[in-house]
Amino acid sequence: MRGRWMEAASRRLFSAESFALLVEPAIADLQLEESSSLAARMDAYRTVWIGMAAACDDGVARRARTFVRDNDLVSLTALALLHAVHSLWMVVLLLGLDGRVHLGREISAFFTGLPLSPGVLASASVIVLYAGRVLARRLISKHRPSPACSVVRIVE
Amino acid sequence: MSATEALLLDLMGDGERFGLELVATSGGRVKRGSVYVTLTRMEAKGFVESRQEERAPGAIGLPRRLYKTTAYGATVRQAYQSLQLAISLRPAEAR
Repeated sequence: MRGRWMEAASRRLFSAESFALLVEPAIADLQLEESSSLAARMDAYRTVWIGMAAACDDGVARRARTFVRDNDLVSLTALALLHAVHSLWMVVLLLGLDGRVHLGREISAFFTGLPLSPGVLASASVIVLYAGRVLARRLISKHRPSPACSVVRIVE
Repeated sequence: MSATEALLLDLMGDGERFGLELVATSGGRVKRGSVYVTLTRMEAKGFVESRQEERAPGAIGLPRRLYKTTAYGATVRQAYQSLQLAISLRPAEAR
C-alpha cells in the first residue's frame, strides 16, 4: 500500500482538520491510482506533497493567530520598542561624555536653544507617549464592531 | 471568487464529486496538485461542504472525500455569473 509512511507522518505532524481536508484525500487518490505510468504516480505523490505543504502552512498560520491573540503581541512589541528607544537615547547621551562623539552635545545644544524647561519637555514626552498609545489602540480596534453602533442594539 | 473556484462549482453541479473526478472532467483546467487546497479554501468560505465516503468493511486504503455545493455557494456562483455577463456587455447592450 502506497503512502503509508506519509499518512503516519502527517497524522503526527498536522492537526486532525488539516490532515482530513488537505492530506488524506490526496493520499487516498495515491492509493487508488491504478495507472502504471510513472508520470501519473509522480503526479499523485506531488499532490500529497502539496497537501502536506498546505497543511504545514495552515498549522503555522493557526498557531501564529493563537499566539498573537493569547499573548497580546502588539503590547509586547510596543513595550520592547519603547525600551529599545529609551536605551538608545541613553547610549547617545553617554557617547557624548568622552568628548569624541558630539551627537549628545549637539542634541542638548538644540534643546537649550529652545525656550523649554526640562519639566515641560518631560510632560510633553509623556503626553506624546499617551497620544501614541491611544492612536495605536484606535488603529488596532478599527475593525472591531462598536457595541454602541451595533445593528442589533439599534433594532432592539 | 476566483475563476478556478467558479469552474469547480460548475463542475460539481448538484451532485457529490470526488476531487480527482473534478480534475478529470475539467479537461486540464484544474490541476491535480492544487485541487484539494482550492476545495479546502472553498469549504472555509462556505461555498462547498464535504464528507468522507462510506467504505465497505475491510476496504483497504484511506477513504476519499466527497464535495458538494452549498446553497450559499450556488447563490454566489449565480451572482458571479451575472456580474461576468454585465461586465462583458457593451454599454449599448446593457441599456
